[in-house]
Amino acid sequence: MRATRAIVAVWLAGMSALPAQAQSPAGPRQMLVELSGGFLTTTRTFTDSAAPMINAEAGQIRASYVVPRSAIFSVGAYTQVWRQLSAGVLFGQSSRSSSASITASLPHPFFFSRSRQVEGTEPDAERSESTLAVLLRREFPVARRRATVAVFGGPAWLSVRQDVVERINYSETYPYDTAAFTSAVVTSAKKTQLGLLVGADVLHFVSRRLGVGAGVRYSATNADLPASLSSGVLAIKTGGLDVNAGIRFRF
Amino acid sequence: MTGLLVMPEAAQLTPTAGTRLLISQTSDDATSDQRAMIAFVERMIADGDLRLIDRRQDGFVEGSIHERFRQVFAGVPVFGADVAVQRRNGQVLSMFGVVYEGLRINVTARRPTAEIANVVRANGFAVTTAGDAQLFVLPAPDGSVSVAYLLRDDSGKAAYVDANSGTIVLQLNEFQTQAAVGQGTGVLGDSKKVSATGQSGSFVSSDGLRPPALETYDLRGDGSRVMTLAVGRGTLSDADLARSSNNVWTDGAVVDAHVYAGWVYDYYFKRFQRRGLDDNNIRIQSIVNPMRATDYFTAPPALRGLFINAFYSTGCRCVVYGPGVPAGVVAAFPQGVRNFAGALDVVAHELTHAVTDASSRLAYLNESGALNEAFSDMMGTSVEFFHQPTGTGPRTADYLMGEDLTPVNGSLQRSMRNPDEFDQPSHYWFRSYIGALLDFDSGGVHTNSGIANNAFYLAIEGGTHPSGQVVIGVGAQNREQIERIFYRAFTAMLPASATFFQARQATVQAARDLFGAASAPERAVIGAWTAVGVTSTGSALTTQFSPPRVTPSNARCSGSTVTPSFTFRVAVTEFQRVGFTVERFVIDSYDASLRLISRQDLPPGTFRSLFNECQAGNTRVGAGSTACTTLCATLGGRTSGAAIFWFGGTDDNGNYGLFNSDLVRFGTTSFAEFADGGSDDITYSRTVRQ
Repeated sequence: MRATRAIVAVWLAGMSALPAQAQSPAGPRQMLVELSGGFLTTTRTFTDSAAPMINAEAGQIRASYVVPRSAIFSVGAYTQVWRQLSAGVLFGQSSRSSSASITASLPHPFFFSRSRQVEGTEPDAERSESTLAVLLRREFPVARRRATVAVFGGPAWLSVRQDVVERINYSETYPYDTAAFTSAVVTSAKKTQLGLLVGADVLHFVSRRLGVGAGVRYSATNADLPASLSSGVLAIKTGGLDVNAGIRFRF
Repeated sequence: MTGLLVMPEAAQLTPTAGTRLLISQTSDDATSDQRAMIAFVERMIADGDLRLIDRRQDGFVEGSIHERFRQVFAGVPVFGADVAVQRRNGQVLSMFGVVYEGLRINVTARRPTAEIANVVRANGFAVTTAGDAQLFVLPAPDGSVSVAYLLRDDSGKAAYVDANSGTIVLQLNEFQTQAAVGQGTGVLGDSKKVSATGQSGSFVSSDGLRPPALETYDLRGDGSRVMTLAVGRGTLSDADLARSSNNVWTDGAVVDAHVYAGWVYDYYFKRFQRRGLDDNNIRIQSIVNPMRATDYFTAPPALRGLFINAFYSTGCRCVVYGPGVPAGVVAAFPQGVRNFAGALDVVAHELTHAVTDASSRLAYLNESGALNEAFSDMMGTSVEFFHQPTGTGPRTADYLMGEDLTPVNGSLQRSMRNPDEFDQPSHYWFRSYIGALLDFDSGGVHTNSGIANNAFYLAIEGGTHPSGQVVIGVGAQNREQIERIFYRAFTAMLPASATFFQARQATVQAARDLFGAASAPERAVIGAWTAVGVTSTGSALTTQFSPPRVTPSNARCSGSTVTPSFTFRVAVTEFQRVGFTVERFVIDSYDASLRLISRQDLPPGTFRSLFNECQAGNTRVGAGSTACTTLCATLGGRTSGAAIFWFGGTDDNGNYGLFNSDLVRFGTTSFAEFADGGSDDITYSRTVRQ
């Protein structure tokens, strides 16, 4: 994160030395298309737990998920609505392979209060997120208009598909004093939720139509996935802070 | 191929199940149709119409992953539609399943779940709430489709109820025979887990989780049938198993008999790696409610013994637990007697009789019978210490037997720590009733067991015996050592006719085998037996009969006109290298039912005159020597029966001793039961060897 910021700062410093290029404020509306690749910097963790009845006694199952940082790709298009103000849509997509650490306390079939403890991991709890945002974008020309700083924000529909541990399988044999985790039963849960996306972008046009840009975006919402260890919903946070860079086309 | 059509709620199209596609794709198939099928399924997965419900690594084929998908329509699971996919390195290797293509229905449920619950209740379902009812799309074989709620009750019945019309469209019994852990309340009001079996919508007291068949039968007060079963006639059936509609068990006798039998199995397995009563997972059967406790006064006298008693029957290979009696019914127990199944040590005691029956087969009379009883007591109390906390009071481990049967101490108890407290001897020289088979508890098996019980206790806990002997036990924390020693000796080393002295020697040997010579456990065992008067310093006589089962003959014994006769050889050997002088010589004779028919108490001169074949006629059997004779016997014309020989006297060290033989059997005696005795014309005479 710190290294990324440093790179952006150096890039901005270099950009200010470029010659300025005048832009016409009048004339047909301008369109801006951006293609970016980036890095979703936010690591998400969340925990799910349930107390199912096992062997006539309440057990305990807990799954702790760690969703690591990942790549994100996005495409956006804006049209000028008034001077430096434009509106558009942005679509982003990320996919990451999360893992779930599972611990469970499994009641003994013959005795009360003699639960067996098991541990395991579900390494393939995949998560994909897509974001569709409707944005207002305000540009601030700098460096004699060859460079622009833009800020944007607006509502976003954040859709998340997360593999959720629904129950676990374990092995046990007589006399059942121990049990061993064998696998997790995973279901794929999907939820779309309205949230917010804000960000800032720095553009530098190397020609009249082609430019490069870099920026940061932050999107967030809470989603209740329709699957969990307890067969209820699992509340998670989606989105996060991403740093991206890419090419920009102006028409 | 097209993906599934998801209709908006307002769609007015006719509902249809569409086309039922059977997917069966193996790694050998590579036709274009099958490739299209794979692509179709993959598209359904991508579209979310097939939802992943399980993914796991293949435990046998590295690199393979098995995924299971359930078809959903507008977010609602489709009944009976799922696909199992095997992937290797990301590629589909095989694919099997059923999906519906072209499914069309409005999934809005118009009837509230409370109304649905009323529908299934009216159809006999024990459903209390429909709060967890799940909605399904339910295709029918005729191509129609409905949206239905699934409701289950505790007995395993499941119903799919049309969410719009409110009619039951599919009814299932989801329980096959399967292990099920329930909950029960024992005789003392305590809560226990009950390992039962689901069967046809209810639960039976058949343990579905332990290796052997472990079953508890409720005879519902049919004492006559119990008596028939106990002598090996008749059979128990599934209909006799105790039953619960909801796996919540309320009959304390059923709960405790069933649960405690399992705990006893667990003890033997965990402590000794023994697989059940015969070490081969033989069926464990318990019978409860042989009578109703309240029927004590109306019960026929022949069935009175089923109330305040528990016993293991070799006839049915089952344990029968009496119901006890209510307070105020029997004068000896003014506060009543609880159900015998409610005492863990009693359950373990009775089941240990089956262990003995399948191992040493200690004969149930005299010293071997007392050892048989003692071993059951030892294991009974050991099971308590294994499963219950040490303490006093109900459901705690102690050295009392049967303390949970009555609210106060009573004659149903025995104490291993202090046998004298309940009229048992704690020293070998105070043993009682030996030889008085019929009148006194098969030779005092429930009395003289106190001697071995006390030795077991002292070997663990140590202490000062009333005789003044001090024993250093292994300590309660090492009780397992003594349990293993006695288990090894009593199941693997003792003969059926074992004496206390042999029990001492066998347990000492077992201690050496397990823990080494002069180990602390061996010293504890030696000290314990010595303290209770079973010593190795005096004589020991053993008697051998040849043959052990004597065939009747029409030849007459000398001086007798009665036939048939039985001719056999008797050899008495001193094996402790201490000479023994016979002062008393007794022959007890029994008929085919083991009724005592004669006791001949003979003077030492008779021994001298008879036992002169292996040594010169003498009342003294020399150290390590054998005295023998050949006898001809009649049993008053009977064709079968048995006899026991007794030799009392003093050894060269001045110790008094009394030694009994094993049974010599005449004819085809089986000894199924003990009965009251009589007397008859019995003769034993010397037969001169040819």
